[in-house]
Amino acid sequence: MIHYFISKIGKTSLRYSLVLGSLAKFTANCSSFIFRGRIRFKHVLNQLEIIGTQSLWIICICALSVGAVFGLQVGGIFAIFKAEAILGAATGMALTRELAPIITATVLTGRAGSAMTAEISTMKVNEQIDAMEAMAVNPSEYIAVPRIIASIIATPLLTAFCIFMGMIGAYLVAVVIFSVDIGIFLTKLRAFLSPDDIFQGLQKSVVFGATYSIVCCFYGLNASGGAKGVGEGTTNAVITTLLLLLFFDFIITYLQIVVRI
Amino acid sequence: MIEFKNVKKSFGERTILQDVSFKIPKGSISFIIGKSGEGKSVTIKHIIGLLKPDSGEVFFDNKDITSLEEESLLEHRKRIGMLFQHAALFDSLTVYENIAFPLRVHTKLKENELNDKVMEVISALQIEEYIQKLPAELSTGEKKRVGLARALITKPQVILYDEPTTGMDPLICEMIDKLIVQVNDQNKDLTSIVISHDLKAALDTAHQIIMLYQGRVHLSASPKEFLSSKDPIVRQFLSGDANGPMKLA
Repeated sequence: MIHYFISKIGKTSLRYSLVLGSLAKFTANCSSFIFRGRIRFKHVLNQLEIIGTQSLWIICICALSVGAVFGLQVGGIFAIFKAEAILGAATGMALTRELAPIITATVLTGRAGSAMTAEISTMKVNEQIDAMEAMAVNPSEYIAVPRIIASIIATPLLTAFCIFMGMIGAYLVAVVIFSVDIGIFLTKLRAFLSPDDIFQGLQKSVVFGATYSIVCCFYGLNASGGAKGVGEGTTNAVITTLLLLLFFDFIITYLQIVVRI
Repeated sequence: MIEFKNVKKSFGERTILQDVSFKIPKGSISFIIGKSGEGKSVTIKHIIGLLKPDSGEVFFDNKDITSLEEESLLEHRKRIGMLFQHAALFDSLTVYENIAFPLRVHTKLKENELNDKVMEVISALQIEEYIQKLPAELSTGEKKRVGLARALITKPQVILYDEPTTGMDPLICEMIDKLIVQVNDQNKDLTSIVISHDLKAALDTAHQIIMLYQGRVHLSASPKEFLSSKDPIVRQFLSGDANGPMKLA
């Protein structure tokens, strides 16, 4: 029994180590294309439309909702201490530093990332990726690099939008439900929120954008086994991305707060 | 022109190619035959550099391609066209864009020059009527023609056919066999390598038949020599009899 569990743990660790190793190699490979300037700008623009523009409405809805709910939650507590006036500042801090980057990345993983994996893995199992290689086209350069660059550009922009829409949600809650004066809401927001907070949030979103696009393209290009393989690849891509987002979120927050980079 | 020297390839603990050696002359049509799982697709993937052997060498125009770096390998692949078993057309592109794809990626041709080249191949293969269709709207035979057009657009020196007639009705098989000969006749220096289970096609169209068995070349001969071979494995393969010396599993 003990032998079975040890062997199971060993095999699982080995499997994940191999995946992480391959993922690191894939990242290095894609980075080398980017730094050598082998970028297909037309494809980047297409991907910006798919990842960025087409995700805007869902980001807006999520941000508005999160901003309003967060406003309600903290507003309820602040009301006990008659401190509803700082509701906007608290929501702003939370949104810029933490909520907006992670919500944007999570929504983009579910909407754009999973679509990337499903599309690329379908191409893989239908031999279209092999055909591409046979035509002397590197799939990492042709398929992954434009998606990664577009994600790195689109994610901070959408995060900024998420902050803005979240603040509108919080503003509506503060003014309509907690009867906070508009002037006080904005004054407190300006007093507590600094450009550094926004910058720190955007720093995270750049890393998150690279993370979900690299992981999702990697799983797509390594899919195998027909329709089942497409489903498994997409599920694994989303799970791995979410775990890595949480991990990188902690690391970046630690660096920003403790190390103060 | 293409030579395999003692090529060995394993996947995990399973050895697919034990010791494969053969030569394919320039301008010929060669069929690589053998039962399923004998490594026919693995063999052609070595020619195009999608796989590297564990040991042995693969020569293309007297140059060993097994030691090529990624960049040189991409240049090597530009000299080869490949028709995949299911054509492997890009779903999101029209027939025209599928055929134009290699030129768009590798050349800086103006749109009218590119159009001339694409239309030349399209008319040679008589697929004008569906150039604006998507692959999903085509029959299997039509997809194969488009796949062949895409493989020919860059005027390759070698064209690889991966089981071009598997799972097709006899009329389509006949049409594709004729197409292989027609393409080879139209392009004098073109070398065609066909992977197939279709013995009739091999005997009718090949200049050379290479039979793989148990990871080795069992026989490399002309169709005439192949037909007259007394080898029991070859006889069994020709007769299609399940009983005989050939191991089926």
